[in-house]
Amino acid sequence: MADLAGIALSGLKASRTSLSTTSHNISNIDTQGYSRQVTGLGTRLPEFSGGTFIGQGVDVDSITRVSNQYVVEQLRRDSSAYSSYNAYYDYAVRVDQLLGDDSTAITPSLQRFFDAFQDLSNDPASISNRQVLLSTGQALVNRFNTVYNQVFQTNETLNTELNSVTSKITQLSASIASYNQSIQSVFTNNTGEAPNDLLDQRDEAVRQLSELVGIDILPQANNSLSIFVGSGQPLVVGGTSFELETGDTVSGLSRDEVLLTSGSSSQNITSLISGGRLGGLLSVREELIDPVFNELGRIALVLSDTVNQQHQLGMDLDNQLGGLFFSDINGALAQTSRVAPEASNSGTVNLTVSIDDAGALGTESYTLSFDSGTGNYTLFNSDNTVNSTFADPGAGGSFTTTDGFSLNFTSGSPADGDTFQILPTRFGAAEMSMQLTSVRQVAAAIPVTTNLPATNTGNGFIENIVVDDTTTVDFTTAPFALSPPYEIRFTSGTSYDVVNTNTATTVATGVAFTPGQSNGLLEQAGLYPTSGYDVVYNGSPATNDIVQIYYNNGGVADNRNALRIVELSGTKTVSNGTTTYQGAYAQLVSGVGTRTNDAEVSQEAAETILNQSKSQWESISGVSLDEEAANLIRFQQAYQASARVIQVSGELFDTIIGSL
Amino acid sequence: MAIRISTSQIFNQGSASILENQSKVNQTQLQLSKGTRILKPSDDPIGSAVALDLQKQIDNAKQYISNSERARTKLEIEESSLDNVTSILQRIRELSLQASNATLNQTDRKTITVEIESRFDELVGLANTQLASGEYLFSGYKSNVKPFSINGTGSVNYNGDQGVQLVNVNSSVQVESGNSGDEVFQNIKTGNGSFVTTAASTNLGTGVISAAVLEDPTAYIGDVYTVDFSLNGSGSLQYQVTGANSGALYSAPLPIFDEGGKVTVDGVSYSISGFPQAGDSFTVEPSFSQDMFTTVNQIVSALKLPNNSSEQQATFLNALNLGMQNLDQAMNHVDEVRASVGSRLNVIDSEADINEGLIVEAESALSVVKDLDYAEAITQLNKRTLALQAAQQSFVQVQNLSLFEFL
Repeated sequence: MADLAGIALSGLKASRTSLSTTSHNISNIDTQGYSRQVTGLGTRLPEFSGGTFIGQGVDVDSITRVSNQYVVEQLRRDSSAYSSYNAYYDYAVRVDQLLGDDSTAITPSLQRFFDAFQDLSNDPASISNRQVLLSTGQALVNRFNTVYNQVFQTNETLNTELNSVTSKITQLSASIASYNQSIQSVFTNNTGEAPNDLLDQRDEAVRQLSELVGIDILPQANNSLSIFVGSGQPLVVGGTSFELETGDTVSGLSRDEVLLTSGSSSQNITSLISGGRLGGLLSVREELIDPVFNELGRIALVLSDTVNQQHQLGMDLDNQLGGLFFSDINGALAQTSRVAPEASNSGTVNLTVSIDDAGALGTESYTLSFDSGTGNYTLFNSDNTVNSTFADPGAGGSFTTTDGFSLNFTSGSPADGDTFQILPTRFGAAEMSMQLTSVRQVAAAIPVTTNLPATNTGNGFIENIVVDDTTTVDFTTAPFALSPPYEIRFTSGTSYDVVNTNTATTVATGVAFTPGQSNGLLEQAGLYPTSGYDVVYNGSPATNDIVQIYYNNGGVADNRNALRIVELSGTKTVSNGTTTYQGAYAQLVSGVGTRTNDAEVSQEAAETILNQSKSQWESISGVSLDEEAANLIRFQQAYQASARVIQVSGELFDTIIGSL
Repeated sequence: MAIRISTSQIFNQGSASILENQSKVNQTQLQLSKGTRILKPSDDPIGSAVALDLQKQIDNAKQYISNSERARTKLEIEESSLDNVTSILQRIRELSLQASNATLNQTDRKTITVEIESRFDELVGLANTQLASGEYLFSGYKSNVKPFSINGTGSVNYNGDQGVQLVNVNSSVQVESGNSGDEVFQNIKTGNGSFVTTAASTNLGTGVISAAVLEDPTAYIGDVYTVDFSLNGSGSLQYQVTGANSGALYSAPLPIFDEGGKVTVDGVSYSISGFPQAGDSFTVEPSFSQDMFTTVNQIVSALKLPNNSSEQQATFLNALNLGMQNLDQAMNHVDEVRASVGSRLNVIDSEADINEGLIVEAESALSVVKDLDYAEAITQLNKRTLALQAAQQSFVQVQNLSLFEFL
């Protein structure tokens, strides 16, 4: 009876505290990262009186948040994984749709281009066929340019997002650092009472940070959290935070890198980042966007090169030798664009990349760096393995790789550590353009033709006319003529002479001929390949038979070169003769499709896992209104009961007073 | 103990499942509206690569069919021109045969000659056939050049070349979509295709030489032979055969002429009928190429020969025979070219059939890969719509369940 009112008052206080915790919980039901709190109650020390302990009521021991750090950590990790796949998928699906959609894909234009060449081969003299061919050629070029631009735009969006993600990371790091400071001081001043809401807010900031980038968290003894990215680069240490930013460290590439800044020094940590949205962005760029640029560029380069080469072996409607159909793959601008020097280079060397064999090109991007200690350049593949090492060839020198291109050191000298990105194929699709302007310039014919005079009595026949180089003196000495003009005269069924009909001199005598087989008439006479063309003769010629060889003047209906260009579409010209243009594009589409599909599946799986850990977190720390409603009633009743005790204690007092 | 469910969990899960079902309904709806299962390559990366390949096959086959059509048009024009050439040559042959009749007088022969001459012009016209585009059918690669022109002496020059266009009618099959004028009109073997036998125009006798035949290829040396007649000491008609390379074949006494008797020299046999006179000569030589215009001209000039004596008649017949032999060769040659045109048309037809079949097959394969199974998709749509409705309804019901409702 000692202090009935006092005990009741302690009950009232405890209930009121519990009610306010409940009300705090209810109010924060929609607060991100809020962990529900519970009031911890304990009995007061009892009073020993008359040989027994008399209870003295209740004390509020603590108000704690219900939180399991393992679950919090799991949630962070799963958020990081999900955001990474999500970012990957966001970008992959754009490229995927771009490459697959009929209205943007390369394939239909490529098909129409070669169909137009087929139509031309059916009627090579037709101006309208030639017109159609030129416009389908232009459409094909446009398609390559457009797809490149679309992917480039996607890459630009990615750069912008990299920028905004890194600045968000910087902001979050700064707020975590300031939470660290506040939490530290609260702990020091309050003898160990946890600042629940601050801890929640810091946990939430860390969770948001882990959505942006994969982080490692190291709790410190002073209750602060140290946070690291990449391979241990610090973002937050105690009350200090560092800055992440993006920058274009390689000129002309539009490929922003992630830089960690502390004070005046900044470190490029792009290759070290993984996880989170930032990690996803960087890996989709490396695994999907870069390869699409390179693969698309490679197809454009091989297509331009092979069509150009064959076209240049032909003859146009005005008897002129064929020119370039598409732009020259080794144009001066194209050669320069393939080298991107690091901004930090201190040497003066100027470098270009020329393509020797488009068919041997891969889809790699390379890195070239110079070591002044050894005086050697080293060319690295994209996976950082060494492609080749070679001594500095000096200004004017060049180095030919085994991957179809050469490095030309045009001027200047390198400094130690100078680094260049070597991008043989990246801009191929962007730089492609139409070179041919006039319909009459389409070289559907070949410049060489033959005649078998009626006086021939044998059964020899022309099997093929090979033209593989029109830059030889045979073609370039005089226009519209072969120089020298050759005539084949059979001196028996198995031997022939080659006569220069201009000078009437015999340039090869008694060359052996094998009847019933393909005989390269000029090759066997030792005149081809110097001549740049050959006549393949077969069958059984007779003595005095003649094969006359002429420049194909007026051969407007000759479709042989058109057919040879058509043949290119089915020839495995890409990737060291392993696939066709269309095949390479199909590989690209299915490669991107597979990666996008993987990302989609991984994203879904990561989402399921994330949902599970969210549920787990919610299950432990989330506020349940039903629970709080029940508590509300419970604490209200407890409060009412304590109040009733006070009333009773008052009545008891009145009873005593009244009896006096 | 039951798992604790927080209030935001109830809301989050409710809305998440509604969103998920909505996106599935949307995906099915898109598939239905586009009629395809693969909306983007990642929906089925392998399938979309296969689809690209199948589409390429279909497009190629369509192009081959279009190529075939073009080649067919050209070959059909050529075929009808060749038909006309054949009938002209046949008419000329009929007329020549009439003219060979000894009873015809000069006037009759003149009429025949006039007709043959006009047929000749028609023949040149056919050889200069033009396509709708204005290009010449028979000038090889020089299709802008009129292939045949008559020069001042009445003979015909070929101005084209020997080029022949090839057309892709399938990935591995190329067909020649024409023949050069050189091949059709020019390159025709004379005589009977192996040998030409001619009588000297100065012959005075009535000897007529037959066509020569190769009887023993092993003995054949490809020489040009001259048969010269003379009288021996006893006044009998004897002959000597001299090879241009091998020289005189017989030493005295020379063989005596036997009318119609077969003579075989170095594996080549021929006979001479009628009565040659001493001093007459005949030649037997391997065939060479001659154009059909020259052949017709040969016949015309034979018809213009005088025909007043039996000797003149023999000279005329020898000349006409040679011309007619060459004419037969020309007709055979045109038939051969026509047969080859016909067989090329057959190849084109069968390749076009193959391509049509390929298109049908590839399209059905493509449909399997790409096209939507509508029945399945509609079932899916129904299922997903139902799931969406269920998610929405359960959300509405569950979110009403709050203890606060009862306070």
